Amino acid sequence: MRSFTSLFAALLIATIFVLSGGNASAHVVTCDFTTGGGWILIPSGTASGSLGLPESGEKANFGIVGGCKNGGFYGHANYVDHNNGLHVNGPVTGYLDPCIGGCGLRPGYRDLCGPAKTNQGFDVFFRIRTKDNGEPGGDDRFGIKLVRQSNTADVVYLVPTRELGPPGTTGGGGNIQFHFPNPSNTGPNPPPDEFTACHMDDSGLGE
Amino acid sequence: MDHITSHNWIAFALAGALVGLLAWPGTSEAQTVTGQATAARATALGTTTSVADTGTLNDSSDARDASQLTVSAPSLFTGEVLSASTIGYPDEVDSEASLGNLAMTVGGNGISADFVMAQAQAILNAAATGTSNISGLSINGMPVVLTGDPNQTISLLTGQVVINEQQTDPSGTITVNALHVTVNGVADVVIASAKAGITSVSTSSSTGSSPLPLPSL
Repeated sequence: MRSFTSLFAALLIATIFVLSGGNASAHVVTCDFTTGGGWILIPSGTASGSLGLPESGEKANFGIVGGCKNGGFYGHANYVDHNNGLHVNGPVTGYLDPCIGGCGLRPGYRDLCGPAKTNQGFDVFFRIRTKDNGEPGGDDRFGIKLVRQSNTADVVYLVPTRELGPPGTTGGGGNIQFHFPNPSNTGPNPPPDEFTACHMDDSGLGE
Repeated sequence: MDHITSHNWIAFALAGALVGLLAWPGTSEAQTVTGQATAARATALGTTTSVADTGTLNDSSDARDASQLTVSAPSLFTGEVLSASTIGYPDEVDSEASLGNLAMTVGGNGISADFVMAQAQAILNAAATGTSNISGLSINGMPVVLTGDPNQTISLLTGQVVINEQQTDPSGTITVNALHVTVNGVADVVIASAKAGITSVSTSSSTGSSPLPLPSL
């Protein structure tokens, strides 16, 4: 059971988007919440980026919260890649629906964006793509893209979106949880465009 | 004259109805929400330390989060990507806490896990529910087969580990501790704790008087 208020807010957001001429390739600020934690496995050759960090099938762990709150964006992202020791952490300052396969609650992709510290000697902007595909979480999806803050054209790290999967040699684990909006769930007015929110496009992130 | 009289009667009847409504005992429902999530909490030597703790929800329109990239409590536990959130709704509370790469040594017991998550959800007028999501759990070098049941307990020499610990208080608030390690006289450690509760309180009120001026007839 969900509150009628939440449903109404979600429908209102969707309606505003449709009335504003939205299309399937749009990226729109949508106010709800995404939370989650887990890990993905990154086999060699399945990640890229100018840093050229080695990947060998080890896991990368993540913990995320994203959404809107009281006229702004809200949340955090933490990420550790055990293939190469990369650490990333920062606040969520952008939250978008990438509108893959449509916009809105379904199919329910969400992108969390923001500035982050790394242990590589420079700061980045991150864009994390998530999708909640139900419980217990093995079908949920996660991807991450990092660009250098001093040169946002420099994609330093990119792991295309993939299934968390059941724990094992071919998959990771964890759970990504989509949450309906609550009464605090208002974003910036006017909402930022994709580049302002994320400082990058979503090329390579996949679905 | 008849027309004026009739009009007065209508106004009088409306005024009476208004007084009746104001004096009618009114009822309203207020929700009390409880929500909190903590990635790790340890009590040792009488001191409790929490890491990535959201604090408590203020009300049903609040949302709170907390996080930490890594944690290292020397000679107790280490972990990474700690994340916690709690979200309130007028009719629901969702709380969640997680961390990865747990390595713990408590009272000589080694406990590790790839991933630990607790989730709690309370929906108005329904029983609160909770789940734990734990992968790669090992205690003293032995892999643990998870039953999935609440409160799976594994004894230690001087303590215990409760997996997917679930406690519901009389108000219906549920607390889910994905891992709760107790070593007698040494430490009490909870890894991934999520709490959620919501109750509806009906309040009745009767004004008993009319603060509004009656319309003149």
